[in-house]
Amino acid sequence: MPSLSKGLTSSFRTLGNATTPQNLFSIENAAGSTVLVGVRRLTIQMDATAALIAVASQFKTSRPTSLPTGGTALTKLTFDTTLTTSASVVARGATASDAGAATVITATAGAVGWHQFAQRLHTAAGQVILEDESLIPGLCETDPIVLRAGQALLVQIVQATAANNAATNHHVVNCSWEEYT
Amino acid sequence: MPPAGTRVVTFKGLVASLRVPLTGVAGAKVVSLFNKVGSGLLVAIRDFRLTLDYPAGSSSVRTVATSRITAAPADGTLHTPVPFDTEQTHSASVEFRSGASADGTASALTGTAGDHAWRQGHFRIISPVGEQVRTTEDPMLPKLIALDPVVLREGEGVLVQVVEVASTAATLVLNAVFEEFTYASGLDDVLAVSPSTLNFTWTS
Repeated sequence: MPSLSKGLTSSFRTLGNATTPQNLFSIENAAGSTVLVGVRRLTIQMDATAALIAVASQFKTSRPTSLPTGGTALTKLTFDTTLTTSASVVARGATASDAGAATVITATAGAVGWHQFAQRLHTAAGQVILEDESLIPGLCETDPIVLRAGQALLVQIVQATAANNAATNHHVVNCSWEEYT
Repeated sequence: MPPAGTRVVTFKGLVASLRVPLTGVAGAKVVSLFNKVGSGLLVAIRDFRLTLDYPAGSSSVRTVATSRITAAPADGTLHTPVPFDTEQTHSASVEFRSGASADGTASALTGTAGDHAWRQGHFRIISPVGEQVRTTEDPMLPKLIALDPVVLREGEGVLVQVVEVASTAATLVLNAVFEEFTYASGLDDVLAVSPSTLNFTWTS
């Protein structure tokens, strides 16, 4: 399986929108693509400035029922600038600037493959530690999830109440993948 | 456990439970993964980790345990795993269930726990008036299963349950990665020992 490219991208800082679900990020391999995509790392970092005394935010990763549309196409970087990423590989974020206006990703989640909490502030005092939380298994670094042509992964925030997904929550998603045949 | 190269993998998937709330039932079951009799395959568990939140304080830690079981659990919610590669097909004989019908809505998972194989203490909140609640992922089987998986033969499974007293304090999520596979013909008996044992019997 010759490797053609290795890419990485990051979403802008995206605010919660008090709805559930909120599509936060997607990566897709377009229909008709001539490459396969191996997703090796997909993480979220979350900050919050308001207290939450209910259950923490939940993040779910799935294969959506069809390719996402809308959102903001994110810039893709490569591990080595001699590599070229395929135009068929598209990463979408839900805003076009840090804490900017929403650019809605339209997609419908499929069966959930990974389900993750991040953190919450029971009281808005003291320090806040931001760590990467995995949105796919860690073993995908060496054993990636395969996106064939016409397939995608979708990251959603799914909340019990609107308060769990307040506009005072901030989210950044990072993704790394490989393109190969 | 033989290395991955000796397994003929027909499906590799990841699957997540719903958010399972504790409801005050002692020994509450959280999830199960079971390989039913007659499946014609084996299951290799490669990742099995739990994360939880405490919306309320707790005077003691919620210890959660994984055990091997020999009877197929029932009820709860049966989940559809997500394939690593859609070229592979999941066997309906391999069932992953969780004890909820929706996030935060309990739906009792029925099963009988065996001897505990792995216990995990996670964390607790002494008082809900804390600073930041970090919801770490904790393994419910040893981390080394990523490369050296736990095997479920036909009629075998694993069950995760809260060990101690009745509680309503915690809400839990479990994620898993597993493979459905067969051994290459004739290799089962030879390779169903550890690679290290094979190394010690080698002579020049």
